[in-house]
Amino acid sequence: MERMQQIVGRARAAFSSGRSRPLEFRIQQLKALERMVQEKEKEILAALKADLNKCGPNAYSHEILGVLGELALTMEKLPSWAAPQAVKKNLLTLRDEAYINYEPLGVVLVIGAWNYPFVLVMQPLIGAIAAGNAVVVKPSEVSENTARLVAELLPQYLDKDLYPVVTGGVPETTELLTQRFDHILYTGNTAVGKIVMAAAAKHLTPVTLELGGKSPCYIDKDCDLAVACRRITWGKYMNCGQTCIAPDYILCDPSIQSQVVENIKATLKEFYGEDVKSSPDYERIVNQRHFKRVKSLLEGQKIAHGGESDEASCFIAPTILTDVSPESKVMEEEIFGPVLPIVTVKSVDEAIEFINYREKPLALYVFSNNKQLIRRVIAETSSGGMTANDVIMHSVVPGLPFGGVGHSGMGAYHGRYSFETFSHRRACLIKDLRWEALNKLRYPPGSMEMMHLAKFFLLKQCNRSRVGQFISALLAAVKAVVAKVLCPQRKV
Amino acid sequence: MPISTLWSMSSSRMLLYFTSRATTLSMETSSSFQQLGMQQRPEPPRQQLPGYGKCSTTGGDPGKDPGKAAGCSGGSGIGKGPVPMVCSTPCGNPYAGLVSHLRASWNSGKTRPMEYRVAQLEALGRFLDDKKQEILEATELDMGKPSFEAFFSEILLCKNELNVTLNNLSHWMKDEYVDKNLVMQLDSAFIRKDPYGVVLIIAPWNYPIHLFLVPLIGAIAAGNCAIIKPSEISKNTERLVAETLSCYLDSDCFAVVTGGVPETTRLLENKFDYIFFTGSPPVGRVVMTAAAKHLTPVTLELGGKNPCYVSDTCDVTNVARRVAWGRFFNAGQTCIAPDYLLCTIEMQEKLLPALRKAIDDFYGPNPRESPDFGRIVSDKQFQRLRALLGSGRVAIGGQTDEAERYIAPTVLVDVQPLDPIMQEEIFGPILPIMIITNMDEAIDFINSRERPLAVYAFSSDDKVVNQVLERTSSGGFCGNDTLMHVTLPSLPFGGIGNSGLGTHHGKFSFDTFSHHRGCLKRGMGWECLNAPRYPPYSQQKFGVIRAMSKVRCKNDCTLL
Repeated sequence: MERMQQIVGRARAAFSSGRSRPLEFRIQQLKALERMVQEKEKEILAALKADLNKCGPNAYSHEILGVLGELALTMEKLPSWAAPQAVKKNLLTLRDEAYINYEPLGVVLVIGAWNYPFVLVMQPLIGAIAAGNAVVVKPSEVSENTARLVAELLPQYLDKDLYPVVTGGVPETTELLTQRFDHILYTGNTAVGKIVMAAAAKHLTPVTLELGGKSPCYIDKDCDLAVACRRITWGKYMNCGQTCIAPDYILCDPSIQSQVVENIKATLKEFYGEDVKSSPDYERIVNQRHFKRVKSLLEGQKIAHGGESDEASCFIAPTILTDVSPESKVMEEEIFGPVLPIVTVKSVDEAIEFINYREKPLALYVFSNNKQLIRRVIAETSSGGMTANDVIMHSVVPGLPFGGVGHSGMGAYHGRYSFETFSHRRACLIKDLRWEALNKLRYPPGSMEMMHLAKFFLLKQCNRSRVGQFISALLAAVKAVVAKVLCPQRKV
Repeated sequence: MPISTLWSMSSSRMLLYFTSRATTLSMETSSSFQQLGMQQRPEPPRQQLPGYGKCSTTGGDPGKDPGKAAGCSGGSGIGKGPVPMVCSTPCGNPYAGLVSHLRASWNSGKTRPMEYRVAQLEALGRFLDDKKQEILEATELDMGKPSFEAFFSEILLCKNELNVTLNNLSHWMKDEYVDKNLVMQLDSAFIRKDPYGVVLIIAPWNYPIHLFLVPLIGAIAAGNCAIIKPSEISKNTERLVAETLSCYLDSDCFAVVTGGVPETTRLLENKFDYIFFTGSPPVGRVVMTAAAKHLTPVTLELGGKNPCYVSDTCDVTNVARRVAWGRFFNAGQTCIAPDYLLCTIEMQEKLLPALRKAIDDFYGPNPRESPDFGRIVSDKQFQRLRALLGSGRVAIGGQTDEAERYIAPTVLVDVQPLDPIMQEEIFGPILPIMIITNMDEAIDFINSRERPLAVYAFSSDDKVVNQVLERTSSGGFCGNDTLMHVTLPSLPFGGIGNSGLGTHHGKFSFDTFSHHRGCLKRGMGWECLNAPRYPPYSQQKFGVIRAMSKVRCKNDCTLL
């Protein structure tokens, strides 16, 4: 208890000193982070290999590249993001300064997940540093090697007091959550998301929850199945299916189901060779618990491909299930493993209904040559984000917010959205102390005349013939103000 | 907004108690319903429920229509909208039927077209026009709101918000196209503004029309269905809203629920897609805890003690007028009112006569007779405020009248930081002055407390104003005036820390009630461009990816 209090207290004291606020400091810290990633690349890749059997190129493109890209973007754009943003004024405030100031929130907590243990901690951290906050970083204890490495590296490169790392499991996190933070960003599952939000409610702390869900993937009959299945295979089986925005299940017409299976099978062979287990490009399930869980989802299902597993090495082969019943267990929870069920639907209407019947997913995928159909699926469903004719890729567009809705989470980050998530938009109006006469119309004693004047000053928006009304109203305003100034007292 | 007002600490504890009890109770009911094959409709609640509007088709007892009580019965029968897979709302909840009726309407997609939203917003405008007189009368009955003030805050600012929304809605609704990287030049990447679904708006009593209407405008504009829960404390306005609003809005999509703590507790058990709450921090915690059960995002507009720093160099007369106006508007029952003054002893000596003069100018020698000065909303609030008068020494005002719930515009001096009046949000026409020796001390004082909803600073020297702005944190900031920053719909309105989370007003309301959905539409061609990302990985591909990332650092484009 005391330890957490100390860590958070130190971070808060460091934040209160104000040193995290200047733009130069933030950029300097981000540069240090960039140096860390570049200098310690080998160590990071080794930790990822140990945790998830991620091979070099894979880990590099999924984790390191994402961090470097986010850093480059943030360092380039930060001055423009952090600049005060002037806003429109009305007639009453025409002479004043009105703008939105982006201010740091204070001490924020970033809780990472194990499936992309490096990038899911670093990306929020970048946004939080960019916005000028102190950050307590809590990497997932499940990916212990990466957690240990992050705890070891960050203090070597960043300000020790402002950006402490806390490692540990459920008891440590629970304790940490009793502390007061100014924002919490949590990546993980729905059940823990609720706990985090309830803990945050005690301190009225805003939260960003990056959760998961079953992201549907609809394949229309009218599409290039070979290309579609290639892209789906890539997104589904990367990181052994342990990706929060991986396509969770396929919805397609019964008539194309077997073609889908054949195409995926062919792509799998192309990607991972005849013996998947010996492919250096195929990862493993993170631990025994998850291995057992994923394995249990296969029970009673029609396995069209794969299904092999090896408990000792937590290996589960890329698996395809066909004719899956919507009521089966594999369709109830997020799979988070290399198992791809296919549920057949007769039309796009049925697919939309199927999707809407369930909790809102983090991502939604649709493959079709028919642009009208794609537009319809977007308009009639809801999801955190979506990609048409590909998978995963919306999350790498730097200009798009990344986040869930409903059961898949709340709030968003990435790029500018990270900066905004970790900033308070403070409304600022700086008036002139003079020109008191202009204020008379709002002061008591009130009168109908004053009311109409106030109306004019505030309601100038909806005029049809703006100019004419403007002039006549301005004349009336001048008249009224003059009248008020000349004979101001209406003593009660 | 008001600390210990809307519901007090004890009632919030009660609310928590109710919440936990109700959950266990309803879970039991839920399982028994399952055994019964979910055929039986929930028992109508014993008590006659607080009604909805007379014209409302969803009015009356929500438990009466078995078709509508679909939250747990598994079939809505309304619209073609599907029914939630999981029965997350406890069966037997008196509002489950209403919520699922609204959800069915939302699922039918009728609230999404812009024409529908515009029609509903225009209907809100008609509500304001038609019911202007009734609104002025109801707020006068509730808290003696002077008609000028009621007109300004309840009608004018709402109309303003409405017009800004109507004028800009088509623009706000447009997909927002974003920058792409090299590989996606052929694709389109945009942010779609999706409505959330069924939202709940809980409003307080101090600006009983404004504080439900302005969020409602945003909710409608963003394409949501909404349940409005006006405050039960401003009972005349509550009745007016419950009885008349449904005559203007589509009652399949918008409903008013009335009632106090127990009703609100039951209401909060239902799953909403967004909750917008205005009220006090203790109740804010209760609302957010209830929201966490359904992972519902929240906006909390709370209150706090808004400091007002007056530097030694300024035009004392103008400062006094602007402060007195902000403090005594609505008899001090304003969440962004300046709560206390911070100034030097010399400044206090100059300010006191100027404040006396300003109060005299505004309300005459006897404010009790002025038609421009309001009353305290309830006896409980009156008692609380009268007790606060014991802090420090009364310099101006101090008169009270329990029968009318009148408290004169009052200024207190010799106030200490530990006095009761400095421990809670005042929310009444009392202005304590805290003596500090300089600006640094004022800033330290502000920073040693919870972050307020607004900070005010007065000085003829811009540097002083900017120092206070830069070295403090608060929801909003207004230099050289009070309250005025909220009259601009172009500025976000919302708190930070104890004063709340999330923002609204103008486009910020629209964004609050919209889910920003990242969308990417790709072409099916150019598959060769994707080759580097597919396994089997090779040193060659690794090299390509590395090379692309190097390019990115200079020219901002990359493969992945």
